[in-house]
Amino acid sequence: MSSNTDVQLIKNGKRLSGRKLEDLREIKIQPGVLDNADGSCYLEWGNNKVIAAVYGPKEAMPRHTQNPLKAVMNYKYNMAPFSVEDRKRPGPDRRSTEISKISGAALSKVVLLEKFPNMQIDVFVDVLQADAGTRCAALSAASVALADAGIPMTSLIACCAAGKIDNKVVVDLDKPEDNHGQADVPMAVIPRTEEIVLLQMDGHLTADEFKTAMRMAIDGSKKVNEIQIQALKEKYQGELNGD
Amino acid sequence: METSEVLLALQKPRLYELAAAGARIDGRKPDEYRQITIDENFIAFTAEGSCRLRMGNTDLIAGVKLTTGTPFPDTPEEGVLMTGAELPPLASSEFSFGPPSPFAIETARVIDRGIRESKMLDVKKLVIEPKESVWIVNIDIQALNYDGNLIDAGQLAAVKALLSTKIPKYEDGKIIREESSGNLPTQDKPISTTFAQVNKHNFLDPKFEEERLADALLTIQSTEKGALCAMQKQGTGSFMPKEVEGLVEESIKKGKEIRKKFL
Amino acid sequence: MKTIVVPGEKLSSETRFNTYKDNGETFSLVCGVFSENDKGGKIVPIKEKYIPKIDDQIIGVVSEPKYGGAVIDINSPYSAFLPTKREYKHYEIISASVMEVDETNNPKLGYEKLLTGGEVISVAPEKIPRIIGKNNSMIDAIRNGTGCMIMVGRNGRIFIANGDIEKAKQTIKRVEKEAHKSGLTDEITKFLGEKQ
Repeated sequence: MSSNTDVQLIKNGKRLSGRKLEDLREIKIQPGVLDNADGSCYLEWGNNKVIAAVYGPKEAMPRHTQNPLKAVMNYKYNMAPFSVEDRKRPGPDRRSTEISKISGAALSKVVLLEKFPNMQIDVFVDVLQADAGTRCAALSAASVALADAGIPMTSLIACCAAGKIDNKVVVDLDKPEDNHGQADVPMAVIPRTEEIVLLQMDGHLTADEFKTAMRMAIDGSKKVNEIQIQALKEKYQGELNGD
Repeated sequence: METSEVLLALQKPRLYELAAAGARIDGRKPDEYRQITIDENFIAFTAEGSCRLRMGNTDLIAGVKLTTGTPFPDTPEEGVLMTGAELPPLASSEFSFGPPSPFAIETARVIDRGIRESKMLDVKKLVIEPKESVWIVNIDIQALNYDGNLIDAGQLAAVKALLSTKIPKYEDGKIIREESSGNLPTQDKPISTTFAQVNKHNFLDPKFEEERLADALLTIQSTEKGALCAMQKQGTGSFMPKEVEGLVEESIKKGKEIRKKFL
Repeated sequence: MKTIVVPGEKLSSETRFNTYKDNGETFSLVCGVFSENDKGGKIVPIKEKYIPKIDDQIIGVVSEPKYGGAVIDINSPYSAFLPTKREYKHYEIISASVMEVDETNNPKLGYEKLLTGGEVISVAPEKIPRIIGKNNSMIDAIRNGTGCMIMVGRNGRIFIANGDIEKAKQTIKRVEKEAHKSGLTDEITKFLGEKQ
């Protein structure tokens, strides 16, 4: 976050992209796109393109990672080298490791891990094209991929970020807004109960601004959730009808 | 199962029972820090800034070393801040030898975040030659004993160390560490507060058992003026929005207390 | 009326499996096909890994002969153990019954029978009930229409011997693909009667 005050991000109440402060970018979700994976989901969010694949439950390996009480959640967030403007070296870096850790923890709240002792559930999400908000796109896609794999969960989770640009709290920052903005608050919730399963913040927000941002991120997540549900129902209703 | 897993499993019922009544295993109040002791300039012989800090039994050293290098391409007129954390096996049987674990990486990145986002270091004043050469401020946290809450302890130690860090003299392309050209330019003092949610109660500054057995953890970092600069939720549990608002309020209040007492 | 439900979706009827309750309301745990009648609701998950249950009839493949028995691959994340004095060889095929399942879902098998002279195919375990059909209607239609001996394992494996094995395989795969079509049994019976 560098608040470069040379760039004006809001003009006449509209953002550079034409969106209102509370508007999300366009999101498209396609479940069940990969043949080998047990479950998968391709998701586009603005210019973000992510692909999530689920393998499992399967026997946890190496053996010493096995937990006789529940399955191990193995979430790996990864960015493809061409996904960002300055080519990223392939392989996990510290940022990916942190994102993987907190995203896996978020999913662990809803997945019935106790149903699969000694197993592991692999969730691999690759960011193919990045346009800010990749961890939210990734987690939202992963949730759909887990449902596509038939893995029991108490709920889907949806992830959306709020932030602050030009001293205004807005939802779903795109790349220019993220680069020149003043705060970033990614959040993931269980939509029905508003339980927060992922929460980070960086930048500068007063307690009141944070309260507004939190509300916008939660409402944004709920909108993402509606798209997730729609995508799953359309795909499988289609198969039911013999499409 | 590791031995500590068994120990934690044995302690869990008592921890939860106490928590239900808002009580903690070491008798602290829910919003009470453990005793904090600070040894400033602990590594004065070789580090430009340093601090050994104990928060209860959590014991660590923050060392600040300055080097020079090229700035990042997108910030050609700014110095560089880098934060690392080593959690070596000597500090706990939980830690193993080798490259940093996800836990160590997250710890370092969250300690870094508050310092960076509060703009504590005036990085524009750390330029030697614009676009060519800047000061790189390396903060390294070295754990000596792990008993929970490395993030709050580590950040407080780092901030303390930064406040008394001396910039070495730089002449004709050489760093002369024996002489100094002044203190690091600082303009804020962020404070980190971490809460562990145990059986629906939130406890500040969790010790090892509380941190490991908590359903979730929330770290909130604030600036001198009481604005938020970083937050991080950990764990597989969840927080309700109102709960987070309450913790934000408590965090800003506690931040002011700690800042006044130690910085 | 069959509809698709998703994890966390509130259900309109009491549904026993693949659900959980919160505050008296019932929610789906999976993405699946939901149908309800006056007796209550039912969810068929869109996908399912085979998790062994007591009394399941399964078809397994020997993966590791051991002293005192053999480790059997049962097309599940969990592998099974068959206590036996017979020395089994790698990749031999058996039908067996799940005698018991321990708390980590690992089953012990019994009532085993060596299967030879046929082929084994794998289908999605959640499609097995459809392949068997109401009162065995579908599987019997396939048996009659192909002249095959067919043994269906609850774990998604099917052993086919004698008769027109290729036709049986094709038909089973088709049922798996079109499982949700209504009137499928009649369609299949007709299809099998047509070809000579």
